[in-house]
Amino acid sequence: MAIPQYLIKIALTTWLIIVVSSADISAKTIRFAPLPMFSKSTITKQFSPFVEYLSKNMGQQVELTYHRNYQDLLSKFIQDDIDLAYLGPLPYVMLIENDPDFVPVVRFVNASGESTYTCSLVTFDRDRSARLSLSKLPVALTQPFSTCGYLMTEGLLNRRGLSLNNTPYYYSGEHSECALDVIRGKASVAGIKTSIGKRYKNLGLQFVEQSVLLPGFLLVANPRTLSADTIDRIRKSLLSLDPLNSPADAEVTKPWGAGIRYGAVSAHETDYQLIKEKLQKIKIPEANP
Amino acid sequence: MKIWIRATILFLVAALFSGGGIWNRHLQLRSAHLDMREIAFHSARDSIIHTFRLVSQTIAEESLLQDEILKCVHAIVTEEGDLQNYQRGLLYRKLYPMYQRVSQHSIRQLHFHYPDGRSMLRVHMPDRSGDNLTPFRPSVVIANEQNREVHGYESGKMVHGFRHVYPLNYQNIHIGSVEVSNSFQQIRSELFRHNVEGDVDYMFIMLKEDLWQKLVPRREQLYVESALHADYLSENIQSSEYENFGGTAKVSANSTSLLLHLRNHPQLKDGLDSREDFSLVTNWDNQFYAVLFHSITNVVGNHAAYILSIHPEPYLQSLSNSAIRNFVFVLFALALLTFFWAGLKRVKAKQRNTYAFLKTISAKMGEGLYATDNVGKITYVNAETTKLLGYSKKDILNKNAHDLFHIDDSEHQEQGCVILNTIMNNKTYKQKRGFFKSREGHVFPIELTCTPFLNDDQINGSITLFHDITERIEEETERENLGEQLRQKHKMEAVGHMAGGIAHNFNNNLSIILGNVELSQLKQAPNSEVIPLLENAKIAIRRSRDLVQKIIIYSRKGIQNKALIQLPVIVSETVALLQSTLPSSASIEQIIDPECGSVVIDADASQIQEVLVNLCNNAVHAMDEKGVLKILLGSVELTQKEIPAQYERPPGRYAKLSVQDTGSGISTEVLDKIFDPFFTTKEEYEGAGMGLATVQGIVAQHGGLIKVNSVPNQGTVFDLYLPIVDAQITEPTPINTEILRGTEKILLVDDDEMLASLGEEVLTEIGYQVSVMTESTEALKLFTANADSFDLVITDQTMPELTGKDLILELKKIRPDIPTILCTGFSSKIDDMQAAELGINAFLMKPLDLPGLSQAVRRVLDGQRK
Repeated sequence: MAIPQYLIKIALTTWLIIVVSSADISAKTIRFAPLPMFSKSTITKQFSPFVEYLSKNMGQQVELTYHRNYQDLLSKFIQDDIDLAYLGPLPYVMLIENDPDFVPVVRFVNASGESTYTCSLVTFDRDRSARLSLSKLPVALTQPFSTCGYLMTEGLLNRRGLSLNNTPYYYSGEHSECALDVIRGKASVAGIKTSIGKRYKNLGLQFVEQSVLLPGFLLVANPRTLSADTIDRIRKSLLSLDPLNSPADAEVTKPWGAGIRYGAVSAHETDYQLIKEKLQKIKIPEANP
Repeated sequence: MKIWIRATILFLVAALFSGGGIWNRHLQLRSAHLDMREIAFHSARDSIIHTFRLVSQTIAEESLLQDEILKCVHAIVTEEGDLQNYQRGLLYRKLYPMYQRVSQHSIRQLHFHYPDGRSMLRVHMPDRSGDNLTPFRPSVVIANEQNREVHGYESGKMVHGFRHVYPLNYQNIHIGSVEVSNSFQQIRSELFRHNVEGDVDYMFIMLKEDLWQKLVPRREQLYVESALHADYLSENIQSSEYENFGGTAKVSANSTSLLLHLRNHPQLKDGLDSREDFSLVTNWDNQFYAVLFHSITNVVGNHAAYILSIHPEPYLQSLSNSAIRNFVFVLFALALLTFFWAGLKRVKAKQRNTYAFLKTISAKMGEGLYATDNVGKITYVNAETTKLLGYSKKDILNKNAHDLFHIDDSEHQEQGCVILNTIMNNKTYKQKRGFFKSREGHVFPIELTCTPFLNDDQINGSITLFHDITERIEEETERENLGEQLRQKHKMEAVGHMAGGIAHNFNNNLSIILGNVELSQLKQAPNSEVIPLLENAKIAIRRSRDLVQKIIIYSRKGIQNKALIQLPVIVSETVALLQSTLPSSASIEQIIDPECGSVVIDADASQIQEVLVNLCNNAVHAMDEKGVLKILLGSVELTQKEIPAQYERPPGRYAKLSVQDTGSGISTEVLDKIFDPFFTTKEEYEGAGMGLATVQGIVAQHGGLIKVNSVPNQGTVFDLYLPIVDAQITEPTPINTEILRGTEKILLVDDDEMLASLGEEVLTEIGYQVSVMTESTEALKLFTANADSFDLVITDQTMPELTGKDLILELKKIRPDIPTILCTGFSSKIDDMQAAELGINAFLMKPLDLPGLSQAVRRVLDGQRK
């Protein structure tokens, strides 16, 4: 039975109206979710000025959303409940492992202008050449989704013929706590960001292994909810800032969180290839042992 | 000022003072309450700080000043490089468990310092060390340099705290210092524990100038500007950094809002500028709050911060309400008091007005007024009383009036004070004439009215009004004299009037007799024996005419020949005449004041002589022809008061002619009658009693007056006063006795037929053509019909229907140029002057003698006028 022409026209018109309306709605507010590294109030304080900047610069409303943990954030992102997210390297790689459509927008640089970092194994043992003894004290790790956590620490231990699989370890939550736990004698070894570990050299902290350069935190966009043009405009608006060299830009980013206030570079999926490969080799347990 | 305006001002002032007092009391209570708050806070704060110090001391002694730790510190100080770092790590490792434990309670920082003031190890923030603390941490400098403990508040490069710094010594070597710090949060927590009420909030604000410049970059975010004042900072509760230092004081939203409200408090700036303890009370959100600012000094004694204790104050609320209630009550009470005061003032003002009114009446009433109590003691006197009695108020008050100045009434002397007795019987005592005695003993007549003074129907005393009636009595006496004088005057006028009427008829009769006698003489032969007899008759007629003339003079209507005369001359001539007639047993003495040698009066000289002769004859008679008769002449200036009322004379200069004898005097009874006509004390043959009456008549006609002063058995003085005129004396004209004749036609009118006939006959005898009419109306008709037939009209004055004057007026209407002569024996209707004014050519008094009549007729006809 042939479908009447007028019914086809009505259906097409209705579909167009729905599509256009949806597009309009999604274009109105960009839902932004930063990684829940700190308390909600700290995150709000650090990212509210950033969100305000984006809204003003884009001419489009940007909404700051908070999620209790990494897993929740990633699930919502995949479910298209989030349009834009601030993620660490490992969560990004885990995200695109599940859904490769997500687009890296920019990577943020540190106060030195570097967009990469390394992870190290640290100890309080003054004899760095001696074989690490992991039997008596546990290994201190930061977080399961931290790149320097289980993933890179396991890799660095592997260099010494050791593994977390047969060594006790725990997540202390922060890099500094990991380093201090080693000094306090609570842990024999800790896997932390090298830059953070260096702060405690005055307490005799020893660095026994260091990783290769790893890409830093990045901004990831959901191409299903944001148009390519919007994503491009977000990228350009952030790349246009050069706080390390421009006092005016520095004044703009001054109230932003420490991880995002020093500027950004373009991010590409390939930047995270090494981590992707590591993740394929090393399985990260979901919780503390 | 109106009483209500004054009352309103008084009310406002009283309200102001009362309000001030209540407000002051309110402030005192509030201040006492806040002082109690302050004391309680200081007690709690000192207790807490002392406790913290003890805790710090315990930590230091039991954990930090142990050999193991000191050895480690010594190694850090002495070692270098990795070994030094390692030793620092070991120190951290040793102390961390203790720090972790105590940081849960009261310790915020645990910080080791090198002897040179650099940071050795911050156990609370171990990654930071080696920085120089000396510019910012005097506590560290003092502890290291003076090797002693330092305790107190101090700001730092990162955070502030209440610090306890202990010097570290190892084997007698100073190796640095260690600091144990508490945060305000910890003190605040302890303050909360001490506050059993649990409704107080505490805040901490720091002086910006003490803190701000010490902060390392990025630590500024730990602080925000205080809601109270830009010079002060408070901890930034948004900063997560405080988590590393034991957290920060979480101030309630209510307190934060209250501080924002308090920012505008007028006393806040001054309080903060003082940098000392102070307190503010504010009403916010319908509740009273007290905010106490407790100054915190740093380790070098400078103000560095405030701890704020915020207290909800229902007590102050009730205190304020109580103050308002009290004020309203006081206002109400004041309003009532003011109202009553104003009413009282009005009554008092009214009383004052009444008192002033009565006082004025009392002072100006011209009467003496005194009040006595019920035993006669004087309680009040007015000025007139003191004036009349001659006593001062002091002398007279509280004295007994009766004893002091009453003169006893002889009739009631034995009954005590009749005045007091009367009024004590509640009766008003009036006395038309009584006597009071003045202080000098002078007794004077008074009239008084004494009225009992009642108070609650009880006689409480008396009020007496009195006045001196001396003058009134004198006036009454004078008035009685004056009345007598007026009666005398009226009597004399009546007698004079009667005498005038008699003289008129008498003169007419005398005229007939004299005329007929003279005609008879003319018709007799010159050698006729009848002529001497007729001459005798004429003598008798002339005497009668003189008598009538005296009567006329007495009645003041007689004809006078007044002229200006020198009175001393007349007096001297008369005295000379009298001296020749006086008996040798009597003498006469003339005393003429030299100053009145040229005194001139306008008078009839013969009448003045007659007066003097009469008075002298009476005096000689009174002296019984013995003694000295004095005649005195002078001049006086008489005032109106000196002129007796019956005389109606103007004041001025008068010649005073006095006749003074040393005779038997005149009794009072006789003195009133001496001027009556025909009154005499002489024997019948000695006189007719017309002497003094004539004297008084002559003096009166000359505008003068007489005063008589007689003392029985001593003598009598007659003082005659005659007005002096300021004029020159002219020589008198000699009397012409010639009979003049004529031929003109005369109309003669007289109602008396005999006189008319006699006149016709006399005038015809001396050549005139006479037409006689006895009725004036008929004469008018005749003249109307034959106006041009007459050359002269002679008419009597007193006639029925038309009087002589009226007839002449009618004739003049017909023929204005007709010459006229008016004759009269006596008339009160017309005199010489009036006749002249009416155009009458001559005015003649009867009886007329022939020469006088012929000269008057001739003079009128010839156009002359006398």
